[in-house]
This record gives sequence, structure tokens and C-alpha cells, in this order.
Amino acid sequence: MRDFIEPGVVARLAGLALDARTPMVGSVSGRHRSPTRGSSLEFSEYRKYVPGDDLRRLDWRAWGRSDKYFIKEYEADTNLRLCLIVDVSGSMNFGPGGLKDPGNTKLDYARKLAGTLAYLAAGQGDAVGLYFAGQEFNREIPPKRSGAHLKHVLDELGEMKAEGETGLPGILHQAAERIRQRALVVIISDLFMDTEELKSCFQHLRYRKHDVAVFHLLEQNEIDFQFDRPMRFQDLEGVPPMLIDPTTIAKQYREAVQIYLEEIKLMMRDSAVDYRRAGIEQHYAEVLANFLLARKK
Amino acid sequence: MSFLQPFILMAMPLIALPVLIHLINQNRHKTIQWAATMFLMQAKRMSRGMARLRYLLILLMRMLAIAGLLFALSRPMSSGWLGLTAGSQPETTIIVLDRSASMSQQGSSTGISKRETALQKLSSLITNTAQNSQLVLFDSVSQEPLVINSASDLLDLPETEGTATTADIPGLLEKVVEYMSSNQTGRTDIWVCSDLRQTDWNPSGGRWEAIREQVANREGVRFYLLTYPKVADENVAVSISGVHRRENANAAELVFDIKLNRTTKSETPVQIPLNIVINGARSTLNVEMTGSELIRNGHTIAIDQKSKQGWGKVELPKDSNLADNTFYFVYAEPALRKTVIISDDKETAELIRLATSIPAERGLRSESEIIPSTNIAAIPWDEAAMIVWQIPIPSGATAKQLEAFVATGRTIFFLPPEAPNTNQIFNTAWKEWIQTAANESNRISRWRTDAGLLSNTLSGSPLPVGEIVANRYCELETDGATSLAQFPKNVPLLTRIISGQGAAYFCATLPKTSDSNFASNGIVLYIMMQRALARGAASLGAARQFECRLDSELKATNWKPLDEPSNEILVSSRTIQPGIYQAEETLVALNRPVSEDRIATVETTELERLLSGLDYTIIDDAAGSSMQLASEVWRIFLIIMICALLLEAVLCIPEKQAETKMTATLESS
Repeated sequence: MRDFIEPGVVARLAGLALDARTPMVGSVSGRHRSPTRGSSLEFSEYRKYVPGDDLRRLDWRAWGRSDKYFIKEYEADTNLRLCLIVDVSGSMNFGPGGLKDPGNTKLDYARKLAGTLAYLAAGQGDAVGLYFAGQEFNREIPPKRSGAHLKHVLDELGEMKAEGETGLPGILHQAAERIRQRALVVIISDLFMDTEELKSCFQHLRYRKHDVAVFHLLEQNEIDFQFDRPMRFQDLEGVPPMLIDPTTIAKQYREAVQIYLEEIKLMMRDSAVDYRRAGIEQHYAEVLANFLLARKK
Repeated sequence: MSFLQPFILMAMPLIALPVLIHLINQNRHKTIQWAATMFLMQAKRMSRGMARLRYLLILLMRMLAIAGLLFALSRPMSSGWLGLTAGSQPETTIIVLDRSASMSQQGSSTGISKRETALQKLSSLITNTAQNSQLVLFDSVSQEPLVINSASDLLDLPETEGTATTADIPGLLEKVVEYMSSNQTGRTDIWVCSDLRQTDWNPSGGRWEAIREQVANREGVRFYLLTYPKVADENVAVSISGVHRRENANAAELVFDIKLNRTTKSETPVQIPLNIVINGARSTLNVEMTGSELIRNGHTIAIDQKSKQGWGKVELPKDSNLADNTFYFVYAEPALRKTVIISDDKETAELIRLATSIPAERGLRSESEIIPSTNIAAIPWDEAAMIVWQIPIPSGATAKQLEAFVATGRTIFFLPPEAPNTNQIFNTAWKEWIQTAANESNRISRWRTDAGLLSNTLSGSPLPVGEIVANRYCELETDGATSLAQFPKNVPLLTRIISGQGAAYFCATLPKTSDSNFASNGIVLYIMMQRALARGAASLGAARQFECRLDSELKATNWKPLDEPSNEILVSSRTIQPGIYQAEETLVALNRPVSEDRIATVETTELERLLSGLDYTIIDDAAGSSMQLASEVWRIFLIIMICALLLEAVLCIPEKQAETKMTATLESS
């Protein structure tokens, strides 16, 4: 266990399985539905026998009743590939206490979300992969199922650092290409970028038949913009600082945020993305519980 | 605008305080690490319009609030026109006060006269706005400058009390100009308080041009005309003339002409009770009046046959002007109206003798005597009521005798000699004879119809002065004379100079037929000479009638008042207030000049013409009005300050509803 994985949270969420919303293609048998027919106990359908079919799957009883040859097909259950993509741009260092309050930043929150999800997925036998999205792929750990691999993933999460500008749109396009088999792609980011660019990324991921979920991390003050005196705003991704009297722009700021949130929400719905907006003041266990419950079959 | 606490204005730089605080606040900024920079940039782009304007408005409102507070504390003064008293305080403030009888007219509801209203307002204005200015009063009676220490004294000074005199506004302004020149008054405000009566302003007189020129040549002189031209609706004035005693074998009676002037021209008959007091005995005469004027000539009242001398008065009920409700008169055996004609021109002397020796009324005794220039030592100075002087102007002792003669109230009528000399008397000298062409240039073009020897008759009919034609005239060089008649181009024909109680007249042509048609016309010459004689005779005899004016020659200190109102008048004011007195063997009646009863005022356009080229402001006021010339306006600035603060507060109200919605957005997701 790492310090960012709380046993209490894991214990509470252990009863909730991490399910995929779409069939997964796995290499081993698991608890997730597969697009191929297999030999599980779950009946799927009958189909007419065609030469070459395995005679052992012929339904003799159906032949006896109808004098026709039917092949009985069953659902194939397979494992899940969980690909965690964490935004590690500078903006993820933001938290209610700023840089002077480590442990409460968006990155820390993302660490807890990703770590707990990885732990839960590994616990149910799914493969876990980890991708750090800075300006480019800072780190890429393809999904595997072993316990040693989970340790490696958690180690990487523990050492994860945020810096520089974000390159999330480009990275998501790359991820869509690199993750060859169907997977549950979980993106954890503050998504401070152009919504049009993001839209194409998600559509690309969906095109590759991935099940996409997004945790959109925000801090309350980023929405409310509650300041009453001039401030010097130091951007975390390298934009030159700005000296602003917040009272003069508060209304416009809030309007811009409102428009942005509406656009994100619409875009996620259009792209069939499982979108979760999370305030980092909320406990991550609650956010995860809601996420898992909503995906329950 | 001026301020009662101007030093507070030194704190005006405090207006910049909001800007300063704004700048300091900006420098006291806190640095914050920020992730959502993209929204900041968007908001900045969006806020360039209204939000920026709103912020500037907030700053402006804060500055306005401070300015309003400072202005209110500095106690600004303003006139009703906000800015009347604009500019710096004058070094000298001159008040020209019309103390004539017409200025005693009261407001209908307040009982405050025009003069009192003007004084109250000026006192308040000067106390509040020009405390450091030297205050000089020119009143229409004394016409002398009086330096006043405090504007509040204006209301209590004897020099500002009402009188029964007339005013000579152009003469007063000449004195003001002279004072400004000799005292170098610097920036000067001249406040003229008057009711604009034409008789006081004499707009057709020739002195206005000189006044305009002299004032225009001075810098920093500004006129404020505090005018009261409105005449009370129902005011009646009474005057008496032609008082004489008539006696036959059985009885004696007093004969006089009564004239009533009303300010309205209503044709509705009004009953007016006239209270007539003769030697203390009171009687009432009810007269019915329609229109604006009533004249009753030859009114008789029976008196004791033994009463050879006496006094009386006619009184009207109270109305808006108390100063014209009483008219005093005295009567006695008429004095001999003796005219002494000093002339070597037999024709002229004879014509004058004819015009002066025939008495105008029954009961009067007239006598004329012709004395040649070689025998002037034989002039009976004490007996003569009038001297007609048609020889060259004398100098030395004779000239002084002539001046003393006029000062005692009698008349000298100067006619041009055949060979004028260069001597001057009463600042006047004859120059050369001018032969006129037979055209309009030798006909009298203008003459005074309101006063003087050629004025209209009591019934208002004009004399046929326009028919007088002069074939030749002698040029007059004069200074300070009043022109009573003139040829075209302002060439004087008849002028008058008042000296002491009497008057000196100068007629530029002779009545003989070779020089003018005075003789063939007859009427004008006779009336002119009779009026001049009557004026001179008024100072002789046992009953003397005077118009009120400041005159030290009258020796009023020795007079004994004959009725209660006269007894209450200060000795120093006796000659300027109406009254009735006993002066040794003589009875003296003092009244306002009847010209004060004429209600014609100078029109605004005429006034503008008189003051054209000068810096002036006309303020129309009314007796007893509550309009303030200047008042404290700090309340306006306080209201401005409160409005600015309220507006600032409104602009600063945060948008609470919008914030709640945003918070809810995040929690519900």
C-alpha cells in the first residue's frame, strides 16, 4: 500500500466492481463481456451450423426437436484493460493552498483516484496501464496483469510530478493509436484547453472502441473567483503573470467559466464519454463510489 | 461663486485620494499561483467595455463625493442665477441708493418698501460675499460718498432712510465716476438700487454718454442694477397747487387746485375720501375718481376772514405708498411779485415787462421795473422776486450778488446781450450770435414736458413750444446745466441751473420780433416768464412752498414744527421730509416734488441703451420679495455628495446571485 491509497477507501469500494460499459477484448478469462462468443455459462444465441463448426458445440436436443443443426453460442467473458491517463501539466499543481500546500493539489487528487482505481482493477484481475500526459508522453506503462506490474504502476504514481504546458489533446490522439485493444481509458485532468480540440480527441478514442471516462478536476475558487483586491496571477504553465483587479473582471470570468463548463458537458455527452466533474474539495472516495455505481451492470 | 470658508478649498487635492488609494492597492497586490489562466484572459478581453467604465465611474463617484464634501464645508454662496457673484471679491463696493419718494412704495403683503427691500438684500449679500471689500454709499439726497464699515449698518443709517425728495441718478453716477477716479477704487462693483422712474433717470439727458465713456475707460467696473420698476396696483398720490386766499366784502376763502394720480387706469369709479386740514381744523371731501388722474381746479374752502396767514394739508387714506398720501400747503397775503429787468434793449425790456407785470391770477400783485446797465446799483435786491439780466455777464461783486440772490430762492433769467463778453456765471457764458437759416434748424425740436418752465399744464396739455422759431440765437457754453429746450443737434435754447433754493435760467434768443416769434406767439413767453417769476416769488412773502431736497440755505434748525408728524422729524432731515413749519414770520411747507407722482419708468431697452458697452447685470425685483441675491448653497453640494456615494455603493454591489449559481453547478455535477 502506498500512502495515497487509503485502506479504508479500498475496503469500502471493494464490493463495487469496476465494470466496462462496452465489451472488452482480453487475453484471459475475466468478468467482463467480450465481443467474441466463448464458452462461458452465459447463453447468447443459436445459429445455423455451417461446415467447419466444432461438432462439440452442436445442440443435439435442438436437432432432435427440429431435425436441423444449430450451434449453441455462449458469451465470452474476458479481462479488462484499464488505461489511466493522468494530466501532469503545471496546472495540476493548483490547489486551495497553492504550491505551499502540498498534498491538496489536483495532482494529489489525481494520484489518489488513479491509484485506487488501479488497485481495484488489479484486484479483480484486470490489466492496468499508466500514461502521464505532460507536453508529451512523459511516462508510458502498457497494461499488464501481474502484481509486480501493479507495484510498478503505483511506484510511478507515487513519484508523479506536474510541470510545463499541457499537451493533452495530442497525447490523447497518440493514446488512441497506441492502445491497440479495446480498453477502459480513464483520463484525469483539469481540461483547461480548447473544447473543440478535446472533442476530436474523445471522438478518436471512441472510434477505436475504447470505453472512455473522464475525471474533470476543478477547485471551487476557479469557478467562483472570490477575490476582493488586486492580485498578481502567476500561471502554472508559463504564461506571463497578470496583475488584475478581480472586481473589474469577476463577472466576465464567471460567465466564461459557465460557458466553458456547458460546452464541456455537451461535448462529453455527444462523444459518449463517462464524464465526472470533481471538485477537489470533495473526498475522492465519494467520487469513485459514484463512478463505480454508475457503471454497475 | 464665493465661499465663506475659502481656506477649506486648499484641501481640494484630497479629491485625488481615491485614485491614490487605488494605486496603492494595486501595489499591495498578492501573488497567487493560478491554473485557470485561460478564463482570466477571456474575462479581460470581455471586460474592456462596460466593466472598465463601471470601475472608472466608481472612482469618479468617490472623487465627486470628496469634492462635494469639501465644497459643502467651504460654504459656497450663490445668487439665484448661480454665478452672479462669480469671480474674486471686489476691492470696492459702491451702493447707489435712490431715496426718492417713489422708493417708499411698499409690497402688497409685507409692508416693506422697495428701498428697505433693496437694503436688506444688499446687506445680506455684501455681508456674505464681499466682507473684505470697501463699502461706499452714494445716496440720492446728499450725493456724497459715505464709507461704511459694515454692510449690516446699511439698514440703520440715517443716510438710507426714505425721503420725499427726487433723485438725480445720472448726477449720482457722475459723482460715483468722479469718486472712482480720485480714489483709484480698483475692481469695483456698483449696485444701483432704484425704481427706474424716468424723472429720476432722465434717459434723454446728455450726461449718460459722458458717464458711459468714463466708466468704459475704467477696468474692473461692473454694474448691478437692482431695480423695482413694478408699480403698486392701487396707489393714489395727492398734490396741491395754486393755493391762495381770496376775500370779498363778506367772507374769505382758500382756493387751491387738487390733483390725484392713480397707478391704475381703471374706468370703474372709486370714492376717495380726502382729509383736508386747515390750521388744525379737519374736514373730509369725498371725490369720485375714474381713470388714472383727477384734477379739481379752484376748489374753495371757507376760512376765517381774520385769518390772513395759515397752513394746511390734504391727506389720503393709507395705501401702498405712504410718502405720497399727504401734501402740505401754506397761505398768506401774496407778496408783491417784483421783476427787475436789466436791459439796454428797449424792445426786449418792454416785452419782458409786459409778460411779467400782468399777474396770472386774480389777487396776485405784480410789478416790473426796467433798469439800464448804467444803473445797476439801483437794483432793489431784497424786493425783487426775479431779475431779468440782458446785459453782459458781470464779474466781481455784482456776480457774487447775483449768485447770492439765487441762493436765497429767487430767480434770475439771463437773456443774451448784443455784445457778449467772456465772463462766466453759474458755469455758463455767452459766446457768439448765430444767424439761423429759415428751415427746421431754427425750430425747437425737444423740450422738457415733465418739469421746468415749459412743462405741460396741470391738465396735461402741452405748451405750443414747437411753434417757436428763432431767427438768431446766442451760443451757450455751459457745464452742469439742465436743458429745458433745444434746437436740433442739441443746441440749447433754454437751460436751468439750480443753485441753493433758487434757479438761474439762460434763454439763448430774445423775444423781440427780429430774433424770434416769442412775442407773436405770446403764450409761451408769458407762461415761461410767469413760472420763473412764481418760482422766485415763492421765496418771498409770509408763506413759502418748497420741494424737499437737501439745502443748508434754508436754515431749518430754527423752524418750529406746526403739526405732529413734522415734530417727529429730525432737525437734520427737515428739508428732505414733508412737513410744515413756522420760520419767524414766515410759514414754510415742504413737499415731495410732484414729478415723483409720475409712474413712467425707463424701459429695459432704454436702460440697455443707456448702459450699452458697460459690464452690467439687471436684476428685477419687487418690494418685499423674498428672492435672495445670494444664498448659501452647501446643501446642493451635500446632496451631490450623497448621490455620488449612493451611486458608488450601487456600482460596488457584488453579484451574489451569480456566485451561488456557480457554486451549485460544481456541487451538482
